[in-house]
Amino acid sequence: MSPGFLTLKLLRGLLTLFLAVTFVFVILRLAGDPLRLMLPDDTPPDVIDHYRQLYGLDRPLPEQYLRYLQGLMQGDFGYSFRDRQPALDTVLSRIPATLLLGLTSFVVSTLIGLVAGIVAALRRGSLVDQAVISFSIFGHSMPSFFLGILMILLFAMTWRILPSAGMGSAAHLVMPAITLGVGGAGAIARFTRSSMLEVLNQPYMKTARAKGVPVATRVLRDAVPNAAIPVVTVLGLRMGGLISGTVVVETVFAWPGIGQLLVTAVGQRDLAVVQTIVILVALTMVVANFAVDVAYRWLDPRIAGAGKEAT
Amino acid sequence: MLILHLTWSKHLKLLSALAAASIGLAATFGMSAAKAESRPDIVVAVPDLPPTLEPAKELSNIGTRITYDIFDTVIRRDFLSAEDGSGAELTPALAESWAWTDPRTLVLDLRAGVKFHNGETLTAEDVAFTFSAERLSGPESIMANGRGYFGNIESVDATGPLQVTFSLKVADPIFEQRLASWTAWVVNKKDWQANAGDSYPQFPVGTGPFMLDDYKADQSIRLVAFDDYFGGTPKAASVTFVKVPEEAARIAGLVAGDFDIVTTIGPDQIGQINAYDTVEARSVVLSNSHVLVYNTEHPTLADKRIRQAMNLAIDRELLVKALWAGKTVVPLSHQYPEYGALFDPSRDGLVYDPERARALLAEAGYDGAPIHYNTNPNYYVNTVPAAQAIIEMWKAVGLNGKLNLVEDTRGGPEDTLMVRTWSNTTRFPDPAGGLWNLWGPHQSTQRNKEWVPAAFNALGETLDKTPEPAARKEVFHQMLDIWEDEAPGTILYQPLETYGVRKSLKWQPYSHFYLDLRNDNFEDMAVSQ
Repeated sequence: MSPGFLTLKLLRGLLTLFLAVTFVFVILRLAGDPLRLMLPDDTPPDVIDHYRQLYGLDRPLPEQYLRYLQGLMQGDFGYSFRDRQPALDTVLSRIPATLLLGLTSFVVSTLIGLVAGIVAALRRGSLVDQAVISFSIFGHSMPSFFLGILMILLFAMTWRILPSAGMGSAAHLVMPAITLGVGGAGAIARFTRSSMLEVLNQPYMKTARAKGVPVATRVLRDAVPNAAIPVVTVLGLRMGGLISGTVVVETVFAWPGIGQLLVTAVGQRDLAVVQTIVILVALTMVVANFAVDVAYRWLDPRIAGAGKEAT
Repeated sequence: MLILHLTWSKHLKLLSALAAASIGLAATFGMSAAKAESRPDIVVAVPDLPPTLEPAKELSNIGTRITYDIFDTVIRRDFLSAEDGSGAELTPALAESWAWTDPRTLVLDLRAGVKFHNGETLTAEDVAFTFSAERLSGPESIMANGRGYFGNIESVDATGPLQVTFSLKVADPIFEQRLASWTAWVVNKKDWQANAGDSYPQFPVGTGPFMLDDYKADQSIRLVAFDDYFGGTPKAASVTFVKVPEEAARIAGLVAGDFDIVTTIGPDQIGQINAYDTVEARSVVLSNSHVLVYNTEHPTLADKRIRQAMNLAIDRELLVKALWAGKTVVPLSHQYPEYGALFDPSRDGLVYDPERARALLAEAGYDGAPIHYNTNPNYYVNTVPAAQAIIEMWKAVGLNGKLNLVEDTRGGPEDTLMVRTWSNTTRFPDPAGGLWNLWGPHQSTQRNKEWVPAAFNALGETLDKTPEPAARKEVFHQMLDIWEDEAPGTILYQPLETYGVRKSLKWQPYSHFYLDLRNDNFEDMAVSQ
């Protein structure tokens, strides 16, 4: 990995973060006065002024922005309007719940998607292939809030074998993780199948087959690594969405993670918390993209070579 | 040793007596242990949780349904004094008795031996501090609503270990109602000051039947029974409020037995809940009305005849029938039966007369200019279907309504600020807690200059100073006449609050959002039987 490549990626990442922070800062303040949503209708004007001063909302917008950036540089993400706790603490306290849900669904959907995609490609045109394609379309097109409520109706209300909402035991994780994972598994299966079909038709695969290389070796050693690049792209996007992708599912299942916090914070214009979440999400996307770029070069060294020639 | 000198028969008798005593003691302790253990752990699913438990700050439906069980007021409004949970009789609570020594001085004698959750004993100092200028009623108080309710307090002093004296700036005939109402929950002075930091403590200490055990932000709040409660040992071991934002998930959890009570259920779900054997929907008409506010300063709405036509064109009974399954009510104007002697049942109320509306529009020369109707789609139940129906009702008489779904009904371009949705909660059962409080000079309509009524305000000030019920009634109805004639807005209906409840729970909802689990309103019959 060349230092130039790393520097370029780092600079791009920082620029993305800066733009995200700036965009959200401006949009949130243009969208209305947070004190109107925060305080009751009959709040006396001097009390409103007191709060405006307390939160620094009485200062000109550019000054607020510069102060915010200055705070960020010092690790100060501001204070939640809602409970007056440091915004970073509030957000960090939710990460374990979101990661537990996100990573569980990521692992499950990746395993299911990869296996289903590979099997479907190997059995092209068969019933298995048809079933995988159907599952893939179902998973991709089924809205997660609808699937979640369907699952609650079946597993919690009708059969009463799983808790309906909340977090507390492994049983609580089952429905949200499946709901979140179904869409991902469908997408990964579809990409894996297409990519595998392309690779399986390559001359080197035919040669390997003609030489009598066992199926398992042909698939795992020759086909899967060559088919991996498009799949890695999907996985990267899914990894980047680990934090931001759980909003709906967390709300449906009352899962106390970042997604639910974001919904509450946006609804109440809790500026510091929303901004901190956006920074976190942007950071996750930047890291995921970087990881995908690195994975590309590891999987296919020709990419690094092409980069050098181009420069 | 004495026992060595006893005969065998005496030995046997003694042993029998000891055995009987042991069995008796074991049975007594065993029974009390079993009784303690038999108290249920109640789980309540709610759409949201408050960020703090400071009772004078968390005044929304989200906050009061929890703080009501943690804190007490000096005087208590007995909601159960009316069958439907809207009673307004005042009963002793932390104060055993009270008396006016002159029209501006109220002396309260507190109950002795009341304990706070931190073990401190309630004193007059705690009550005086609760209402002090520093915490609640003064210009420097950080409690946004405190002054609106208690700004009339000149001083509040501990005039004895268990005696508090309120001195008012001007006589206030409903001051006792205020003491039984919002922002009036008593906190422990020592704890409050120690934990306030630069504003207020997140979890102040109260005297109520339940005390905070565990707070998980945006997730759950667990309260446990405070067995030293002056009102008797609570009948539940704990109550946990769990945040479940989705209505479908709350209902599913209720049916599945995960929750005992679920709040904020739409009227369209009542039938579904009642279809199950073990749970049922319990509804109450709230001391609240959904309201439209008209910007009387906007050129299109400046002529009051146009605003009157807008009101006459709304078929409220149809809205109640179509959107609320006929279960809620249209009040007789901005007055409610809980006002007692000040309520006039013979008043015409909110009239539906499309013919008169058309005539008024013709008289006013309304030219079909658009009338923007701004509402937040997610704030009030049924707000969007109601808005759509009203726009059609207006169209039927020739009014050109335009529906804007917005986040902030008071934001947006100036020329579109014409009609906005609002709700009016009657905080205490008197026009001073309703029409005058909500449409008077301290509220948003007048502050935003949507309506600036000099005559109405003058009458409101008279109302504040008038103690005799008959005279107050006259002044109030004059105010109501002005409000109806100038039409700065209108009431649509009183919404319904529906709860899903495990059938075996003896619990009644109140006309406020308080979720009262005190002994006179709560018992788990499944445990008791």
